[in-house]
Amino acid sequence: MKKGCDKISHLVSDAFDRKLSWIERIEVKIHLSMCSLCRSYANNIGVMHDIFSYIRHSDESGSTRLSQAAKHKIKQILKEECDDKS
Amino acid sequence: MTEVMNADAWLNEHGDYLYRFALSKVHDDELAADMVQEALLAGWRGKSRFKGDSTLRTWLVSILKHKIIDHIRKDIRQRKISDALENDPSSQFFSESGEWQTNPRTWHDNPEQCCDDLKFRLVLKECLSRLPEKQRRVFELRELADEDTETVCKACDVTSTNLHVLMYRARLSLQACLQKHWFGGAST
Repeated sequence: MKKGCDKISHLVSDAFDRKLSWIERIEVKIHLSMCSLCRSYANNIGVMHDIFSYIRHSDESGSTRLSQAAKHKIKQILKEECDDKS
Repeated sequence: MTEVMNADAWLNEHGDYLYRFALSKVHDDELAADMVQEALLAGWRGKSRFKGDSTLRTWLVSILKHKIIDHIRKDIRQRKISDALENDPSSQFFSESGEWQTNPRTWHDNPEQCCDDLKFRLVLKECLSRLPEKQRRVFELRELADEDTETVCKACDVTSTNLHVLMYRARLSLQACLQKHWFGGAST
């Protein structure tokens, strides 16, 4: 069962971005039950998805800060804006 | 004078948070800082529109989000990054009859452990940087910035079908690249 792996791998990817139709879901299910290569691929892009969401959360909750230089620059710009108004 | 102090307070209280938020979306220190600057400035100019229905931070984050999407949209338009120029890699991954050329092998690694490994982060960065530009933009907005498909389509000026194709190509390439350079050997 190796024919059509190109099509199935596309659908497996799509499932992350849209809802598959029930026909598509059945098609994927049947193919995956018979094709270990596509099962591996499906597993791997799932792992990739988890990796990216983990990175996203650790970036958001990390302790990274604006550099002093960047802070200083923003301060200046905000100050100019306030001075212009007054 | 009080105004200046208030603007400073915004920066002091929310600057780092906004920066981390921006960084999680754009992955570029300098650009992230610029986005924070623009968002704070826009927020400050439009502070009369802040009604207090949400917290100040939430309001600033929503401005920042718009600034980031706007920036990406303009950047893509300006540089006329076209996906037509980006060749279709599927022929490289599948035979004419649709069989895998390089067999995927199941990764058993724990995603969190991978991410904590700096070497892995470097490999991942390298694999991402090898993607054609538009593919990478779309993929990063979707997977790293977690934007919904509609927002990504608008920002990158692509149809939803187009988006699915770009995401698919990016996943194929990344899967192959990571398998080759991290998850075990080049043998097939």
